[in-house]
Amino acid sequence: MFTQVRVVATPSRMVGKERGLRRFAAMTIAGVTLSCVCSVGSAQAQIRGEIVGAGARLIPIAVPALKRSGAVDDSSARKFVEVLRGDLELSGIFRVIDPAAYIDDPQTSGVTSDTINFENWRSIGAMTLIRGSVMGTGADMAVEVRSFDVADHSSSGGRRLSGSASEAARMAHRMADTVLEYLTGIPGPFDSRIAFVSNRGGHFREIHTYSFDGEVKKVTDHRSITMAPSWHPSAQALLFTSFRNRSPVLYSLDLRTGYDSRLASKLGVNVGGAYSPDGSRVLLAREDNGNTDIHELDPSAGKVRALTTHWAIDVDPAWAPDGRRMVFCSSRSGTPQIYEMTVGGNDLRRLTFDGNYNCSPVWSPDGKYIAFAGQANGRFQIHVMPASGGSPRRLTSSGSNEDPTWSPDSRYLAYSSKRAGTRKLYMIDVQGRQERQLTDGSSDDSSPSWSRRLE
Amino acid sequence: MKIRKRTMMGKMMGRMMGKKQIAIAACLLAVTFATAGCSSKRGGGMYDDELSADQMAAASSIDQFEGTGEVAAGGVFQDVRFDFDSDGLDGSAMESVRNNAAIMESNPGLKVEIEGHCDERGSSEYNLALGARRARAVRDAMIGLGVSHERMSTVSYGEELPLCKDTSDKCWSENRRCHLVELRR
Repeated sequence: MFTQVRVVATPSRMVGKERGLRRFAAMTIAGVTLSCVCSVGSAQAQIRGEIVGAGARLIPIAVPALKRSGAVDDSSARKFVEVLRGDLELSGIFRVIDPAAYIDDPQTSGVTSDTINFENWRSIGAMTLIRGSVMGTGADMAVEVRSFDVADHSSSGGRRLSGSASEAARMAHRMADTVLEYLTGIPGPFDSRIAFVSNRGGHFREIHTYSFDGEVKKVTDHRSITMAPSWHPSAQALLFTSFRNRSPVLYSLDLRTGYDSRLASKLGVNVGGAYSPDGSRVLLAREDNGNTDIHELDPSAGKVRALTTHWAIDVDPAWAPDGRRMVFCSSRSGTPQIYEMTVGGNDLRRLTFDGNYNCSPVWSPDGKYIAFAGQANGRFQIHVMPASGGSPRRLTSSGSNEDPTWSPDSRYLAYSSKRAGTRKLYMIDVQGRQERQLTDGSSDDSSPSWSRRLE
Repeated sequence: MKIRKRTMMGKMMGRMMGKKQIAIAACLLAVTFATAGCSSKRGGGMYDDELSADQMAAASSIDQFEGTGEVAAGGVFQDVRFDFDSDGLDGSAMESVRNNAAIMESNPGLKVEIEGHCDERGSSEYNLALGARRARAVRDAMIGLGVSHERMSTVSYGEELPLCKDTSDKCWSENRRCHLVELRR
């Protein structure tokens, strides 16, 4: 189970000009391509971003090693910087400049706006500089990091994080989330986990969790087939379906204790369990005499009720963030399509009309979008459509992609993709510009579920 | 015909008691383990149903996956095939159903579990529901041919237990099937 993390986060915004980055952020949020940003201020000449995907331009960022003082555990300090660089690369917003190009020695140069030689960062093409120091006392470390706008020598903010040196990766994820917040006003998604199904390490398909530093943990030992993990809003418990008792039964798993319990095991199918945004109720798809319908379960009251009673297949329920509406997948029109209704079972509305197979809908945490997997030319691709109505937009194009799940900041989707042999987890930003592979190896990885932020 | 045992414990128990009792013992064992939290940590459940002793003792596809069962011998039963995203029985599917119903008719003591399976494409949860419908469709057709419903149970494995794992139409069509497993003769 997860280590108890006691990272003490004390966000301490630096006073200073945030002009450059904020302006950048405003334009990015507005969906204006980054080429517009090139004209902002004096940074124009320094941009060396590369064109990737649909005209995306990445912000060149420099992330030098931390300046060490005290008894610093060197490997933890290095881990922090590596994980921070990895997250910023993964964000699809930044391009981390190769550290071999850095001119200043991180151990002898300054860490404050009046001691940093910005010309040495400007000359290697950096628009943003992440500069900080680490103080260590044996097993503990304290990291203080600031983000600087290289063009106007200003800091957009800083953060002090302290904790056990063994938690360096989590501190780095939090710092990365903060750097994204400086840029866009919304914290990044990297201090989180993705639960998924994998046969890694053997033959059985067990639930695993993935952290953005690449760490994968196996959290079930059912020695059978497990399916469809889904997080509790606390990010400390999971729902999943297991065949351990030879029939698909819905379990809940408490990651703090490692104990799981059966939540729904009526004979037949019990799958697709999803906690309500407040964690008090569960939607699931449940079979009664061969027919599968959406049900709502109140675990504390021990009550279950059917929300649909249609002869067709109704599966894949997902909550709207307000906890009042939901989306699901139904074959009632003759093919699997996506529908929306109230959790009371009223006000049913069909949302997808193109293609003959649209399923696995998920509502973004900010309420704006619904993502789903839709079939086109024999393969499945991840699509998004505005929750308020409008045409779906296809985000993926390589391989066959299924099981979309939203990041906690609604900026990204993770999904499983089959490109050669077995499935792997990938992520993409909601504009569809930057696709990144998250897991590799020979195992089959599927059904990702992205947790909320851990703190 | 042999009764397949699920576990080492089952095999030990098998030597000690008659065949008919094994299934019940296996069921009791499984329940005991689950309740005692021996191999599986488990809290209080709700809405529980338990599988029948016959279902617990069957050599179903999940046992082959888990390595605790044996591959059902010979294939007297024919797999019933389906089109993509369909639980409809076409002419050749009905031929398989008739073949299977005839075996049931000539072996009056025989009970079966009908497993519904799907190919890998599409939502795994949808496929679990689709597998349940396929199993149900075969069961209903067998009832129509005179087989008592009491001799048949159904389970869906969705896309989780494919026969083959290639990305090809041939492989997918083999995976879209209902597989019949003998429970008890």
